[in-house]
Amino acid sequence: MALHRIRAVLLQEFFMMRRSLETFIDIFVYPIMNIIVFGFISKYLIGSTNKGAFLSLIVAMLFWQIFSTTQYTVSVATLWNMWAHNLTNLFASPVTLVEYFVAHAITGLFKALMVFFIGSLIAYLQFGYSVIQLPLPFLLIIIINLYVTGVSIGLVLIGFIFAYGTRIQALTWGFVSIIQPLAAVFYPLATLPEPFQSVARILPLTYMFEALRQTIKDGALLPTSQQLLIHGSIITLIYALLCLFYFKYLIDSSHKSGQFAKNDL
Amino acid sequence: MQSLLSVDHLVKDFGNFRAVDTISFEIPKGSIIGLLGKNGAGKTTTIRMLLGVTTATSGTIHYFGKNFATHREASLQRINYISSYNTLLGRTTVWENLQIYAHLYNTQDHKRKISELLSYFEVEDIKNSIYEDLSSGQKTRVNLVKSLLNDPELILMDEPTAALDPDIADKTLSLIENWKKQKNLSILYTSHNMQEVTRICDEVIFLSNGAIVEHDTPRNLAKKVTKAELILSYQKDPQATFEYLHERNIIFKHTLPNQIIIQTKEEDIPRIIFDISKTGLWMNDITINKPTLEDFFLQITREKNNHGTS
Repeated sequence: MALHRIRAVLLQEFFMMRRSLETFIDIFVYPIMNIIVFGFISKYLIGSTNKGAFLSLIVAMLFWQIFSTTQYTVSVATLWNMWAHNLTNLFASPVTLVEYFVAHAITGLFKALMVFFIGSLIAYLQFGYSVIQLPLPFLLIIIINLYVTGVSIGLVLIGFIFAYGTRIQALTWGFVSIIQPLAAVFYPLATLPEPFQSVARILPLTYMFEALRQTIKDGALLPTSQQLLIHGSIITLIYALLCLFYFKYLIDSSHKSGQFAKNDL
Repeated sequence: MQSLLSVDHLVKDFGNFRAVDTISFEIPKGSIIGLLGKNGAGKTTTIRMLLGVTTATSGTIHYFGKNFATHREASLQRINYISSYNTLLGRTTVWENLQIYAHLYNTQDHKRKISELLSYFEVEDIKNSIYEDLSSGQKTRVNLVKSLLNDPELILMDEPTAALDPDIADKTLSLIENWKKQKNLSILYTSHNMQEVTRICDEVIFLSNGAIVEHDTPRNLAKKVTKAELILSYQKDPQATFEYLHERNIIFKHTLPNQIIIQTKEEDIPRIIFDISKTGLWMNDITINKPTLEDFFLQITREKNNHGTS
């Protein structure tokens, strides 16, 4: 792995980002607006009954951005190269897929943390909730898990596009809408109908958001939440490995079928 | 002579369709090799395999004596690629695009290098322009700058002048020719413009249905077309000439008044002119259309089409 090539991809991402209003709106404006809207909903509902549950709405939306921003960054940056017919130029250079996606994972982390930081600031200033009320180890574990899951899912989605073409590109920005209800992001797992609960149980995100609600409710990182974090982290790791292998398979098949280069036309 | 690229029994199958059929060739240092063939002949698939963006079904590619499959990064560091079908990032400036590639290729003193190349290709004034706002000619020159950032020893050029008007194409070609002379560069060149190929290529490989059907110099390939055209314009007395042509079974057309178009072998032309002059024809203009690479291209593609349909 060569650092100068990772730096080149980071530079490309920076230049693209600077001149892409769409990406700026997708990554910063929509998420921040979502956080604000959920903040107001929480504020309205907190006055009524279950304070902890309603508070968890804005906090869940805040943490959801870690996953969705990372996944979006990893997937959509490559689409920009396809739309510009620049992909073959790029991979006709010595850059490797590993270097290329390491760079995108780095920018994903940077953008996700920026959105999280801005969102947290708004949550504190406007709605009086500070994320640092959460235990620091919990904060770190949940951020790492959501980030790793975002990278893993982002890789598989872009792998699908490499293998099957840009006709399925809408998945890269639409996938979050499919997974969000299943991962029980804003409500307890028990709220979902039984068949969907089984699906939710195999998603790492579900454990993170269950742990988040539990910790907010308990006001500390108690054994129930710890257990959820451990289960979730194991599933995140399994997902990451499976996604890497599947991504490799998709890339190899796109090279064999010629679709990799055809995506550039 | 040292071979920069060596392709050995390269095959690419897409399902049951064989796009590239057991091709082998080499590119020596300092040579420009043309890769020709009609649409779908396998040129672009071959280039894609040479870049590693499409996997070969079988066969091997060696750059600088090393297997490309196991030395991808080292090989790509020493070669480059340009195609009229692949562009740079549209919304970023020329300078930014080139900076990205300079970093990818780890170009030393990259600012000086980019400026030098922009100046050579006479596009220094557009360095701060947004790439997608450029004309086709400007884009091609910027792409050429990109393709030279790493001082490549070999460049794969896939129809680099396809989008250009003849004047800009000619100028671009001159710049490529001069650069090639200065740096002893090797080029694999695909184009549908036969004049261009004849002008710059040392050798030409003809692909048909994925297989190499001819590999020779443009001049030798043109010579394989047996028919040349002799056009005679005259003022009077053609009768004896017509009799002579009929007697010798020489194919000719008399489409315009005072003009005869004779189709014959190139080597027979001097004798025919000599014989006709003896028939008393009062000639005032003689034009000889020698066979070109384009004639060879048409002959070979039509032969293949006829075989395909028979």
